[in-house]
Amino acid sequence: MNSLDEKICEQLSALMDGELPADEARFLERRLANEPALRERWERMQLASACMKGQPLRLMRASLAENVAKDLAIEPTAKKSRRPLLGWAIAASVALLAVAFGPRWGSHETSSTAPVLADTPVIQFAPFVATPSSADLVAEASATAAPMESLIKPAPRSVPAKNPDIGKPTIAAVAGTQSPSDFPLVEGNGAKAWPRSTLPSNTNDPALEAYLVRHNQMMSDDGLSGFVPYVDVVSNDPGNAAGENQSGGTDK
Amino acid sequence: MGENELDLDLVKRVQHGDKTAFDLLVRKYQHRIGAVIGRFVPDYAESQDIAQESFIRAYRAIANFRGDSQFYTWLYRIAVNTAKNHLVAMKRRPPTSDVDVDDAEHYSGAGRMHDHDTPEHEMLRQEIAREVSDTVAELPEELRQAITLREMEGLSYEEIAETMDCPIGTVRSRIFRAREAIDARLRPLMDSERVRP
Repeated sequence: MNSLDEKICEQLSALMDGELPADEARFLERRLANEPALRERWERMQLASACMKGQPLRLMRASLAENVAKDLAIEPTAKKSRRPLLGWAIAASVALLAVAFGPRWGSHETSSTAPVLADTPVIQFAPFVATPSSADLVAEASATAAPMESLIKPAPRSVPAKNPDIGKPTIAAVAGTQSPSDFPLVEGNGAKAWPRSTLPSNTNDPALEAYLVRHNQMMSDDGLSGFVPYVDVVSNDPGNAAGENQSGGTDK
Repeated sequence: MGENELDLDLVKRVQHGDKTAFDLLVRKYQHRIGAVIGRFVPDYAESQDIAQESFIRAYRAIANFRGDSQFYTWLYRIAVNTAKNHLVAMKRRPPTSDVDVDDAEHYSGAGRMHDHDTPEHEMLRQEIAREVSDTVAELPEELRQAITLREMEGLSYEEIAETMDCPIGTVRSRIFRAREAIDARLRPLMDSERVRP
């Protein structure tokens, strides 16, 4: 071994300890890439180091590193991927677009489908049956605070009656009713019939029905279906507009 | 720079396309990875193949290695998973309990794995260990102290220089000369056909 080799081997020893300056390390890396004997020396020094540290070893054949190197020769170069960064950028862009334009897309769809919806058959709303609990609450309120009656508008339940033939309140009965306690009991389940709306049940207003359908459709398209459908829609009875304007019928 | 920092430096070079740096990592860790795999697959020829596959898998995945853990810990897990997958593929039952990488170095059953080595490899391993130990014992005092502080205590060159009250360049030279003496005794053993396939 000449003096140059000795210097290289000393650099190799320092590299092994992480104590070689960067400029010398770059020079040594080029030597290592071209001199298999130097890499074998590196291997022996690492083996001796592991022996001194008492680390468990199982001697592998000398061909192992060579076989790995052969396999790696046909492997694509392991470059650090930038995909994670790209993925985050795409996800952020999509989210921004969704927030900015999502509701508008919904309204565009609604307007384009509005004529179609207007042609759909008018939906017949089934009368509703109030639960005893809600009726009783209102009845109690009316008994204790009669002046409040005019202010309390019983909110109809959105659950349709299971049997629409049972307890159908007539308009006359509803109009004459002053207190929920006066509502007739339904024979089948003991519930009290509850006036859902003062609109005549046989009033088929295509414009109103189409509006309601369109309204619900638009709300669901805007992603607000979980919230907005519980907001009551106020409508008027065209035949009784003057009398009902102050109290107003409720529907959904 | 500690051992892990050096590994991370080599890993960065691999991530920039330097395959020689990966070769250095293979040569550094192949015998320790062989010991890990030997715990699952006693057969020597099989463990050789699994070690090779483990390094190939590590190379394919190294682009995603971020340095959150030590490189050897990461490599250790790849080797364990590769060995387990091999056992499953061979319809053999992998062990139900793992030995943590930190405990593996002090695993009480570490000696057991050598029982499955071929007699030639076991003899060679013992001979190498004895040669290293004897050579260190025969070194001049300043060389022995320098190499011991570095390898056993893990001190940096600067710390060794303070301990031995000498320049860092002298520490570097002493450590190199100690390794040179050890390598002179190991080279004939490693070059022998016993380690060749």
